[in-house]
Amino acid sequence: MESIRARAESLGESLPGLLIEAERVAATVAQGIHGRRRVGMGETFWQYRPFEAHDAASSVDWRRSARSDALYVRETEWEAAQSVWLWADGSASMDYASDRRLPRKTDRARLLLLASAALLLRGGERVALMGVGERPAMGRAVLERLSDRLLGGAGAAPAAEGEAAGLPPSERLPRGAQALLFGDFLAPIEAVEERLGAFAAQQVRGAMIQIMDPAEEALPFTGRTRFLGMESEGDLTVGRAEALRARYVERLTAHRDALGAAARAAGWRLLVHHTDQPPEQALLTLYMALAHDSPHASGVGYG
Amino acid sequence: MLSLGPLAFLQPWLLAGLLALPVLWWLLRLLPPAPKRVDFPAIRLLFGLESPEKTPASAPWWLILLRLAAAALLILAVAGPVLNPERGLEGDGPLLLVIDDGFAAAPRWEARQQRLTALIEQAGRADRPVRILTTARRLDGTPPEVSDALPAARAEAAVRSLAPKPWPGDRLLALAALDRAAAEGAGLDGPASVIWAADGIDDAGAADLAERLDALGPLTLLQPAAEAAPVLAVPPRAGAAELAVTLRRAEASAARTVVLTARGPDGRPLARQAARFEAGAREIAPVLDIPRALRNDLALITVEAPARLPARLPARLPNREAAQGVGDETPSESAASAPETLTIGLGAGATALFDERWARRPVGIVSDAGRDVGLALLSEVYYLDRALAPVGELSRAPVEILIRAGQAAIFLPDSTPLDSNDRDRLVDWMNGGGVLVRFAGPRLAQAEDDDLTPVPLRRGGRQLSGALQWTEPARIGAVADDGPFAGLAPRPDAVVKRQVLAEPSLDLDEKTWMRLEDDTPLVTAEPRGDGWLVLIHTTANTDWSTLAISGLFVEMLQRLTELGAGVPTALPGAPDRPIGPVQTLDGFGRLGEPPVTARPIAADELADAVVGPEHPPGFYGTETARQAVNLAPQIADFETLDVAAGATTAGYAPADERPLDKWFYLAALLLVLIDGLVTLAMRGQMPGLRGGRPRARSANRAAGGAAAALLLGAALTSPAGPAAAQSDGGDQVIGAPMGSGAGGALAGDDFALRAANATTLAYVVTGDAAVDRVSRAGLSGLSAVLRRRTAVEAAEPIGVDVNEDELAFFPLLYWPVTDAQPSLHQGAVDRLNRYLANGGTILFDTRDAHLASGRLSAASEALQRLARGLDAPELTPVPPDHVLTKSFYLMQDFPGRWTGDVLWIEKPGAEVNDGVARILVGGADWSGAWAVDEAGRPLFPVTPGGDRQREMAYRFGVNLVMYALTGNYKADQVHIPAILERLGQ
Repeated sequence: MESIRARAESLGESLPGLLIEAERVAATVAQGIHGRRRVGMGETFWQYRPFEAHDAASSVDWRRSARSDALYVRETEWEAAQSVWLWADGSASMDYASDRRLPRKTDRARLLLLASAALLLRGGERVALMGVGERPAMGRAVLERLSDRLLGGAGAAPAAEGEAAGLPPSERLPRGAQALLFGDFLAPIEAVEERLGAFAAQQVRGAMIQIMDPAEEALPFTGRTRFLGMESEGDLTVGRAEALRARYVERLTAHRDALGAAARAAGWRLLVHHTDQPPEQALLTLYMALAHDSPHASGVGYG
Repeated sequence: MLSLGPLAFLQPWLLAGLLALPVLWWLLRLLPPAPKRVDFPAIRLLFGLESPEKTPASAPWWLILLRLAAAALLILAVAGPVLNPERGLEGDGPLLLVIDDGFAAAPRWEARQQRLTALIEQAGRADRPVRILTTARRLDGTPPEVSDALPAARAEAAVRSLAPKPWPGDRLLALAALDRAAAEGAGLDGPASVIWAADGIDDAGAADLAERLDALGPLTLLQPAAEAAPVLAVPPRAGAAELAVTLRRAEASAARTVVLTARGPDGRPLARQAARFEAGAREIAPVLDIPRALRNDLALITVEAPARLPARLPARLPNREAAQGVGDETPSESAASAPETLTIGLGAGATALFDERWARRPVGIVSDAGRDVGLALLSEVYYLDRALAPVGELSRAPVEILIRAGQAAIFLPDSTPLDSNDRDRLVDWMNGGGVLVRFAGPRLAQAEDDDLTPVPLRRGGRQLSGALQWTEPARIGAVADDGPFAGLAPRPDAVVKRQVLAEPSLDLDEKTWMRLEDDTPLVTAEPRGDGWLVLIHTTANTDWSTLAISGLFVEMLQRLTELGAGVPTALPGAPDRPIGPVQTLDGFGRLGEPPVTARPIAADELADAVVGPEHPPGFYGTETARQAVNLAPQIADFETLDVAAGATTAGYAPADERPLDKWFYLAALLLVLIDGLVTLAMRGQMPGLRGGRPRARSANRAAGGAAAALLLGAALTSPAGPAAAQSDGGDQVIGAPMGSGAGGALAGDDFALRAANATTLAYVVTGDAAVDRVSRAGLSGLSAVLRRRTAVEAAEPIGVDVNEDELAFFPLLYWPVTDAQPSLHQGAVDRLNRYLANGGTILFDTRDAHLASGRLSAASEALQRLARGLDAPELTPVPPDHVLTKSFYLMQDFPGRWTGDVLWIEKPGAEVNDGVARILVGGADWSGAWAVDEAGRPLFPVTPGGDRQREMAYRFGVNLVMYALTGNYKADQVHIPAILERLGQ
């Protein structure tokens, strides 16, 4: 537990602090400590601009205006902190690694969650675990609390409803909040769509990071095989597993496309990460996605 | 028991299990192979994807056949298969064992005992009593008796305690014992199984005994194998010149080779020689060729049969000796030792004992010191003395003393006068077997009627050469073929100037043993009683001839000496005094303490003593004066035992019964194993068959990691364009394409040659392909810089595996630390310590200076783990005046790809390795900064960046190599002004 946090921290340390691009002023965006390099509410001077008709007279900076003929308005830098809700799928299907040399999907999901939490915290954002009922908080202590909750230390999160299905809990999040969901999203697409729709209705934006084992991607099994479901979906015995491969991959691609479409429809992003890839890569992609969240980038991204 | 030819089954009813095989076939066809079980999270996607084609539900036919074969083998194994099963005892009633235990039974006695024991065990299993009858007299001299009916265990003990006797068996006695037993009504009338363990030698009672035994019940005759047939060894006549041991055998149908071993009194072998009976030959007399000096030590000759004859022993026989049936001793060590280790002792009959009579050959020269005149070195006695010295014990004394001491031969030179008493004594002595060799001379030539000559002599003799003569001295001519000199070659250098002449007579020719060229006799001889009188018609010194100074003289005297009989050491006492046994032979032909039942023999009956329980063969007398009593000469008839029909004849070799069940079990197990492997392979779970995938994956991961590192660098150096970097960074190949000589793949001499032919930088292969590529590219870049800027002609770098490769060639080892690198094993730690102690330098690069420092990173932990056990000195940050800061360039910090990290170095002041630090530790990822591609372009950006940082990184590399190569040279240079100043004063 210590080591995964240390690893997450060292992962996070390789990137500068992450500042969420908050597009909209929302109630969730608390008056914060860091400037957003743009005009807004805040205390730090940002720029003077010429007075325009819609400006209130009280906004005129008389000291500046006195030095010339025109009127100037003093603008301050927008200082705000975004709240980010984090969630890692803890369902049984995540407890899987096709090869001893590969990490389990759960481990990778938690590592990425903690690493992004560390990044966010360093950037001054507030983070909270979804489904726990805590308010977003900031500071280094939060990371420790997060890892405690995640890794089953003191005060571990109780299993939230929907956890077994591999779906994020249908928690009411404040409007305009951000969410990062780490999981395999192998649940039926309708359930995912419905949950995403609920988030979209709350104007919650965010990213889904689908964590997959390479075996799930390629179905590398041959011969007579009995597949055992990991979330009591039942099992399936097939004579020749290799015969299923092409259609399985087809179906998986379709599932992922559907996920991507659902994400786009909700204004989310879908990132795919494989456990045989280094976590740095995924974190970097995530970083890019969060730091430069632009409408055209939404959709499926691989990392 | 079920028998099928040589194969039998102990539990044949279990074979019924074979009937179940078709059922098994049906079951195996019916049941599909078990599927492998795989956990699969994405199983929802698989539902409804069942393959349309029906899978092969059953195993292939050959696999079923394999399993059936395994099952059949198992059933056969359980049924207890036995090859060559032992046949049971015939008949019922008691088992009568008639055992020959005379001397002829000694060969392979243990095998006989084992065979008999096995038979007794069989009888014991059938609950049949055993009676035992031996055929030789017992040790205490009593005749053999039929034992009581013994239970198997006691009979076995009785047989185990039996030993062959060193005297012949007597089947008449056995017959008598049978008669006595029958008379006592000892239950020998009923049907009994009779087994006669014979020694293969016929005797007077054999036929009768066989008939009598056959009447008792079914008779089985056990006959020894040809290689264990007895052989008799008869020693040669005492005093014979050649050591020709007469060997006799009974069975003569096939050729046979035996090995003669001559042994000393302590049992030490003196000589060994093979002898060969040709087919049909019953008797041979091989001559044992023993050096004369060893012959006096000879105590016994044993004959042994090689158990397995070395193939080349007979093949090396020279023709002449092969005709005699004598093999040469093989010179090669291995062949000589082969008979030693692989022989069967043939027992007491094949052991010939030798006492002093065969060895001692005292020779006397009649000399009367008081009456001898003339110069000592020209005297005949002196010449004789020198010529006879190698022949035997030599004594010079007057006749009386010589005869009393006992001599084989007495040499009488002409210079010694004889009185009539001496003549009489000599004549008596000759009649008793002595050999008197007389030399002619002036005294004999002038003598009147000297009757102590083999032929009458003409007075005066003849002079062949002299001042007044023109004749030439005569040479040696012909040698009599039947005399002792047969085969002696005449020497041209021996000439006779003067001789005595024999009167012509009818028998002169046959008395002459050697002649001159003109046919006048030179040596004449006449038998006198048991002895010989020999006259040499010239002097024993050079007065009359040069014979005495030719080699011929020595050979002649030697042969004359051998005419005489050996002389036993005289024992004091009356002629019929009892002579006690000193050492006797046991039945196996081993010398040992005499048994308590052995009795002394009267001295005058010694030659005629009959060997038996009272007088076992052996040495009699005292330790110093021993007389041999031999067994073999007393055996008159030595014929093969040939028993009338009616008896079953068998050998002593046990039936070669071999239980085969374990082989069947083994074969079944093997088949099951093969089946298991095949099944595993068919289910795709063979670990070896899926090696490709993980490797490819790790390569992917490595490439991905490298790409991430590159992206990271790009992101840090140019924050404006990360998206572009992301788009083309995915498949970029890091590092120069590897040439043929990728580091670590070299082995042995190639490795050593490449490493030693030029100054070579080396990096440690971590196993992480990306890191190794960077290390290699980095050292390549540094080597290029070294070549361009300095006198160091660095060759292409080599990757070394610290666990395997020799490190002594490399002045500097660059060690990138990854947490994936496995820990070192003890051998590698030792090698590294040796490397460090002998002047090596290692630069550990944790490559993590860009991460937050001051906290233990994964690489630091890996470094701690790797360096555990290394003889690491105390480290300190590089001090500002350290040699490393000025060994080529002047510099104070040591950037690599990253800056700001501290370079730790061994604390200066240590007086090892010329003051050169053994270990440097830093985290600046120098190889990343040095790394260039083929075109010489840097591979990675440096952080925070700039050409200056890269240049400084190269400078650090140059300084480091210079430091490792030149040591504290620069440190000395610093002091030169001070030294010059001091010198100037």
